[in-house]
Amino acid sequence: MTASIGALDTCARLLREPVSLGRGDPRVSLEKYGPLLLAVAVVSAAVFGGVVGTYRGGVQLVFAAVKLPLLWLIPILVTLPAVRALHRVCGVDVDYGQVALAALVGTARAALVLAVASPALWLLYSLHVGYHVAVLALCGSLVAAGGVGLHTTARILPGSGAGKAVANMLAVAAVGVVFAQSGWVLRPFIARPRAEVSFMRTVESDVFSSVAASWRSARGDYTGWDARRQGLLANPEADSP
Amino acid sequence: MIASASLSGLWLAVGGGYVLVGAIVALRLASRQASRAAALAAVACWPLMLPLLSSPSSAAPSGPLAARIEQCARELRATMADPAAADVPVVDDLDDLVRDLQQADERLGMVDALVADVGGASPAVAGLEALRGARARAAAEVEAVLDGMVELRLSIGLRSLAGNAVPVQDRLVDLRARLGALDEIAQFDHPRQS
Repeated sequence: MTASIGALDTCARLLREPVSLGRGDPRVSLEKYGPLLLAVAVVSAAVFGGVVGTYRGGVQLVFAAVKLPLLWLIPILVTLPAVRALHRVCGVDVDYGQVALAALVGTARAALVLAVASPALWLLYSLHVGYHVAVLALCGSLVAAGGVGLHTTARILPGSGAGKAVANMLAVAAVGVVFAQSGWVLRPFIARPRAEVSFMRTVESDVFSSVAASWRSARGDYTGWDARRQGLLANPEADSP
Repeated sequence: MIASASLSGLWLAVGGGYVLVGAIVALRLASRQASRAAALAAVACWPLMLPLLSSPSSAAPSGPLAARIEQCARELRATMADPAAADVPVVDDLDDLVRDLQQADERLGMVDALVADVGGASPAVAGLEALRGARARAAAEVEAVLDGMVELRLSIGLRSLAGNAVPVQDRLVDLRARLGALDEIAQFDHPRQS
């Protein structure tokens, strides 16, 4: 009962006044709210993942509910040092604790916004929209929620002026790239209607070529899907014609 | 085939290394008296919990009322968490109140050391009596707040029998405000010292 009250209170503060969670000594706040914020982020993202999985149904519902929290957390875990470095390079003096707390609050808020908005996506999927429209709706939801999270993070981090604005833009770019590629590696979240359901697909190419191909397919041009693995993931034997 | 085997080996090594570092961070946090939830969270998300390692480990409180503060806080937490006191929320305000009490206690400890130091060397120095008086008032306020915490425990016990509502959060906020007033009085006594 008390735990649920604490979680509800934290969720209310995340939605109404997220900056209040980032006040004070970041280490004290991180110890006090960190585990709960993580739990909120994981549960909220899992709820949203479950809704995404309903497009295909069955075991895909579980797969998507497991993978969405990973998609939400991996980018901040990977980019925290880079975000701090970018701020310091731009003359914004932040310590690692402040960045970690701000990123955690932003991530939890974004995931919570996704969970709150998931009934709308559920309604859209229940109208039996096409696969590519479903993918674009998912991407749009993630980008919108990500924007909310990044805006929250930027509000909590100290500093002002042009230096902070530049640092925020660079941080958005860094987090965005890692987020997009994480989503690409962890796919499928929706699963094609006639494809075999699998937890993860084999890694091929990168997210940017896929987005371009998806955009073409949404307009009826189904070319450009012959993706190849590249760089560290390249497999010449398997990819040779 | 060889490429995919080395790739999965790479993933395993990266994943294993990540979890290993997480376990080490969690153990370090546990040894520094961090909360169990924070240590558990560090296993999976150690980059987020890493800053907790750089914070000073919880040193033993050093003020003259440290033991009583700790006892009152522990007993009030236990009372609030007792199943018989169902529906009494464990609120963040208690943590904030205890932190304020510990800070006030640390200031008392500092003043005690100062009085012993200066008073031993030159007992008649100007301002020493004023400092002693201020210290006595501050200590009395801290003691009064601690008494208030004991009264709150009794109220919670009475509530479990009589069923009347106990505004726990409001009481804790009141007690905190009382400590806050102490700071304001200190500022009033020494308005230009900063």
